Amino acid sequence: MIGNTSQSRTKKELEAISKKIEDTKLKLKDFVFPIIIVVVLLLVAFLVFVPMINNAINFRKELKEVKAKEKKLEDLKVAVEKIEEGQLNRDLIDVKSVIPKTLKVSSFIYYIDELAKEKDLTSESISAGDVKVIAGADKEAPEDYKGVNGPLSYSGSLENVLSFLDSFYTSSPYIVSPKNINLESKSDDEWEVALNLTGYYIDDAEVTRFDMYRPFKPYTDFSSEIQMLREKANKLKAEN
Amino acid sequence: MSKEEEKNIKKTDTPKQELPPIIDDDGINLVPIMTKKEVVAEKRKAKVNLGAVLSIVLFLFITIAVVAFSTISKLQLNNEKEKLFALENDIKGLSTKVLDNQEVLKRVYLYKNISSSQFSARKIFDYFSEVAKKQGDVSFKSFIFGSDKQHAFEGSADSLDTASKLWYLLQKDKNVESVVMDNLSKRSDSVDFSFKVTLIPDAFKSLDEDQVDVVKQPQQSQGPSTNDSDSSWEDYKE
Repeated sequence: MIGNTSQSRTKKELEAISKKIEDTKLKLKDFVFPIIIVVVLLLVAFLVFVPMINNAINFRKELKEVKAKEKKLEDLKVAVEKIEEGQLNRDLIDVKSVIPKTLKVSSFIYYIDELAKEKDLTSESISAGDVKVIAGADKEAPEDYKGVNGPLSYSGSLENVLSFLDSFYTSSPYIVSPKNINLESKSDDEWEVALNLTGYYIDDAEVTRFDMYRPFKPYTDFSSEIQMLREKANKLKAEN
Repeated sequence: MSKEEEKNIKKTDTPKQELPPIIDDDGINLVPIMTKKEVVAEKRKAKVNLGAVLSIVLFLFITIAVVAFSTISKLQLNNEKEKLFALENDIKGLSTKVLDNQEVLKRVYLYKNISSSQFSARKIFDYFSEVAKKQGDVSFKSFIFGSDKQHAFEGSADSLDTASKLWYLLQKDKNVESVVMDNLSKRSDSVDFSFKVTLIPDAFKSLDEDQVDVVKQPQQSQGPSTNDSDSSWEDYKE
């Protein structure tokens, strides 16, 4: 009887120990709450952190662009302040007199005729009209310019005719461009010149917009061209 | 079994537990002692709680870092934008100067575009006249100035030999890139010719480029050089 009791007691103890061991093992229900927490954290991370980090990266990009713009504007300020205002005003007046904002056909013809008379040439034919010229057509960025253009024909001695042709560059107050110059001998000392002459102007009606981020080039970089234009302007002033 | 024997067995079988004193100096202690199972469970709970706390702390650090990064970036951007705005206002004050500069530049570019294709008709005519005269009795009847590089002329020579020499010299001329004879016809007392020449780039500068020097130096009246056809014409001044 005592043996039976101890056996049953041992059995009970073993059962109790097994139950204890089983109780210490992790069950599925133990993971439910942690899994829920992890899912919530991941959702928060993706829905909140990722957009926040993207925004911050965009802010950094924008910051870089803003700093680049600041540098551009600082350089522009330095370059513009280097240009002396009085000289700029004087040069602007000079270049506008040489390449005016408008060139009347009548003024242009008058100028050519006066020049021809100076060279003792007789007029064969002269006419002119407004035209749009594309200059630098073979270049990457051809420019459109406005001008007054017309065929002319004069006759006189060879020396006078050649002098007339050169005077377009040397003594012309305007910027003119002769094309298709045809020189033909009529008699021993009479030559006829026929050409197409264009006088240029820049129409200020096309308003230039102020864009501070446009690349800035000071006009003082073109000193030789400015010098030529100044001389032409001085000639115009002397004639007037 | 007698009762005494049962009591002895119970005493030997049951583990000896030290029971806390029910009545001690502080009062009556009713809290039961924890079993081993409860102790293990408590230890596990403590570990889980510590893990949870550390996770929360880490999460907080990440949140603070992200928010701080975003806020600092935004603040820096706002500061730089303010600086840029102030700079733009400064530049707007210089807009007149910038626009005037643009107006001048427009005209300078026009002048450059036009003058790049200019050439001196007199220089070219005189040069080829001189080349022709050296060969003998040669005269030009017409001269067509096509562009700054391509020209054509017609004339007559006293003999075929003269016309051929002229052609040969034009081909050898340093300012001439190529010569094409369009026409060569013999008359009873003369030979008519017609040539198309292509000059090398910048063979004859326009007078405008020389004019700057002319303005600075006293003007000289100078006829064409009477040297041979290979002489340079670059110093010709009106």
